[in-house]
Parts: sequence; structure tokens; C-alpha cells
Amino acid sequence: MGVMDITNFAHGEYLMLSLYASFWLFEFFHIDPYLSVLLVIPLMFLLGLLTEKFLIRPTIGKPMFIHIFVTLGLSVILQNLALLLWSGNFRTIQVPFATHTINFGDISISTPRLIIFMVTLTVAYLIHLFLNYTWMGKAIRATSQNRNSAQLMGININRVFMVTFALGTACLGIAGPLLMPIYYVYPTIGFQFVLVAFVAVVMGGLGSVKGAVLASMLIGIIETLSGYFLDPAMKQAIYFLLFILVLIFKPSGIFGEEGKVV
Amino acid sequence: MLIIRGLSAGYGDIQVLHEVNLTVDKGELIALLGANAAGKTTLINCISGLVKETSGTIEFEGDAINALTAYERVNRGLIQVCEGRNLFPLMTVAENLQLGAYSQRARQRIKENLEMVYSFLPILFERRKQKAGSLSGGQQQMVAIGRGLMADPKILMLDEPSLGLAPVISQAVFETVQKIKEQGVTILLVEQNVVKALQMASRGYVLENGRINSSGSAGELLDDDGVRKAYMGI
Ligand SMILES: Nc1ncnc2c1ncn2[C@@H]1O[C@H](COP(=O)(O)OP(=O)(O)O)[C@@H](O)[C@H]1O
Ligand SMILES: [Mg+2]
Repeated sequence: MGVMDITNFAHGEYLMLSLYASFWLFEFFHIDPYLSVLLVIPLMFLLGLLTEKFLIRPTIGKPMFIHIFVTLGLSVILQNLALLLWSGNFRTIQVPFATHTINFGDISISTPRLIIFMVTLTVAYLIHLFLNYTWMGKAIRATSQNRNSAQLMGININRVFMVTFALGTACLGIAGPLLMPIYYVYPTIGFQFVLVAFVAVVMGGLGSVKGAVLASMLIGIIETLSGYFLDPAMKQAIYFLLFILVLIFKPSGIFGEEGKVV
Repeated sequence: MLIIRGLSAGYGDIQVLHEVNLTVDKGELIALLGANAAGKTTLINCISGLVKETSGTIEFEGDAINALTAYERVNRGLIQVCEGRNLFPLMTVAENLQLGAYSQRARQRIKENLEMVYSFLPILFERRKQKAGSLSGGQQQMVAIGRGLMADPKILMLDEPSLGLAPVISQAVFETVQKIKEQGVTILLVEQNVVKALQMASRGYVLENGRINSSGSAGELLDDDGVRKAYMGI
């Protein structure tokens, strides 16, 4: 799906790596996650470039199962590598800031979560600007709409694939350090994030940034409300139920274009 | 300007082109004719670098370009307007045109070329903010040609620009091609409308089952009995 017509099953593992990166940077060098994010972003970008060049590139244009196997294999390898190197322990860091809250009258909001929310919106907006107002951004959109025509415009589509993939991992380079103060990391943590991200992207409509952002918010609200009014154990069940309903009644997603079914 | 020698190509085990030879000189309009599935698009795609030849050479402005990637060839001014329009449907007309000037070479002249395209094809200026996918077939073809001109072509290869268009609109497309030729752009025109193409061309090649079956000046081909029988139904 998307620009490269591939699904990267190792996406969650890159988030795992990004979380570990900020964890170890804190453990060894006492670099605050809000600072180490500036280091983890370029690291993850570089890792994305290398992965695309050496693992994903050879699968482009081949039958779909090949890239599925390659990325699934990569996901398993990274999980086991993490297990081997860093054990299966849940690891977390203690920063005083983690429990900081901002109060608006009766409402108190966790500051780290508020930061995540605002950074996410900002990044989504920056991506929107990048895709619509830069040559590279337009090249990415062009490649996703018609690969052959893109080449005939003089676009180096291999470079587009590399940049697109690396931008994806760089975003995880933002997510890891920002999540670290309020979360924990273990080798298979990627899966639960990928699952909900997948639901958000499909529910919002594949390829729609606006849809994905709104669907994520919707899921967050449903999770919180159902956890509060029903039963915390039911949180996931409720949004998956909504997901199924969306798929039944609007298979292209809430903001998806008709005919672009999963 | 463009010299093709002994070019063979195909898809997997199927060979489509057999030892094709073809030359285009600067400033010429060359017609490439042939029935459906003769291999015209494959030949054009070989020249553009989208299909890899199995043997033979492609020489452009004195350099062998076989080893260059598609985008490098575009950057040298070897431009294709592909069959079936193939616009970026979710982008506006203006964005489609802008992407035509993606190569470093074309970016330098993007302003002049955009003015030129809008004065050539005023309909594109009117529709510039509309999504390309929402235009009619004829208008889409105009965008495709405009996008090709934005690339500042040294040679423009047009693959069946009149395909699937109503006669009146095909006529407008041919007039546009004629105007581009008068600007001094070298053109390789693939057409099924043999008479129309040969009226504009100086020379032509007829491709049959992947082989150049006949070639010659436009006048010769128009008078050729074989060509007349096969493509004009006379
Ligand atoms: N991508 C492809 N894969 C396999 N075969 C193809 C492909 N494109 C074209 N062909 C085959 O190559 C032959 C020539 O096609 P093409 O070059 O499109 O001819 P034309 O443009 O003259 O109609 C046809 O038999 C067609 O079926
Ligand atoms: Mg064709």
C-alpha cells in the first residue's frame, strides 16, 4: 500500500529499536529523552535508508509474498536480537517529568502525553507541507499515483522509495523517545502499537493523513471512555468493533476515496 | 540525434522487438506506424529506459545511453508522453505541469516553459486548479502534452496521442503537435492514424511484429501499396 506498494511488517520493531535507543542513551549517558530525540531521529532515518537499500529494494516489483516474508523475517530477527542483547525484561526510565501534569481547572493533563499530542499534530502538519510544497514531496505523491509516469518526469523513484521509507522510520525516531518517559520497552512491544496504528490508518482511509490523525483521536477517545464507563479490559474490543463496522459500511475508510479498498 | 541499431527487447521469454534500426535527425518529425501489438510502445519504452533491451544500442546526441536510467535520460532532454495519458490523477493540472519540469535541466526554464504551455494550450490555464483525473479525455491528453513540453524536450516522443479521442479532438491534438514541431522540437510520433501522421512527418517507419517492415519518406510511404492496404484499407 502507499508509495511503495509494500507493507512493512517490521515497522513496530523499528519503534522498539527507537525506544531502546532512548532507553540506553538515558541509562549510559543520562541524556534526557526530550534531548536524545534529536539524536534518535537521524539514527532512525539512517537505519531506514540502509534497510530500504539492502532489504526492501530487492523486493520491489516482485510478487507480494516476497516483501511480506522479508519484512516479517526482519521483524522476527529484530525481536530476537533484542531479546538476546537486552533480555525480555520490561525496562523503563525514571524521570521526574513523567508524572508532571498541567491543570486546567478541574482537568489535569499529563504533560508528557500533551507533548506527544502536540508533536504528533505538528509532525503531521509538517509532513503535509512537505508532501504538497517541496519537489521531493511532490515526487513522492507522483510516484504513489503512477510509478511509470513518475520515471518519465525524471524522478529517481529509487531515491523516492528510500526517502519515503526513511521518513517513516524517522517518525518512529520521534515516537520512541517521547513515549519512553511514560512507557516501557521490551522486545515485542512493537506489535501492540502496529496493531492500533494499522486500525487507525485503515479506518481513516488508506493514504489519508487527515483520516489517520482523526481516526487515532477517535480510537483514543473510545479507549478512554470505554475503559472508564465499561471495563478497562474491554478497551480494545470496543474500538475493534467500531473498526469492523467501518469496514462493513465504508470499506474505503472514513476519509478514503471510493474504490480504494484495503 | 537519435540512432537505434539492432535493438531487440521483450518481456520475460517473449521477444517483442527484433533488431530494430531507426534514426531521428534534429528538427525532424518522424512517424512510427504499426498495427496494435506491433511493439511501438515497447520500442518507445526502450528508448526511455523503462524497458531494458536485450541487445542493440541507443545513441542520443552522439552518446550511447543504454546504461542510463530512465530519469537520467529525461535529464538529457529525451522526453516521452506515454500512451493513455497516465497523469497524476489526484494532483491539479498545475502540479502535473510542474512535475513535467522535475529534472534539473527543465527546472531552470520552468517559468518560461509554463508561460509557453499556457499560451499554447489556454484550456490548461483555465483548468489549472482542477484535479487532472476530473478532466475529459481530450483535456487530459493536452495536460500530458503540456507536461512533456515542461520538460524542455530535445526530442519528444508521443505515443498515440489521439488514441480514444473523438475526431474533432484528435484534430486539435494534431494541430498542437504541428505547432510544437514548428517550434523546432524534434518529434517521434507513434500513431495509428497513418494518413494524419504521414502528412506531418518528413519520414516514417512501419513496425510489423517487432520488425521494421518498411521505411522511407512520408510521400513514399503514403504511396506504398503495402502500407495503403494494411493501414488505410485502400
Ligand atoms: N508489460 C508487458 N508484459 C508482457 N508483455 C507485454 C507488455 N507490454 C506489452 N507486451 C506485449 O508486447 C507486444 C507489443 O506490445 P506494445 O509494444 O504495447 O505494442 P503497440 O504499442 O504497438 O500496440 C504485445 O504482444 C503485448 O502483448
Ligand atoms: Mg502502444
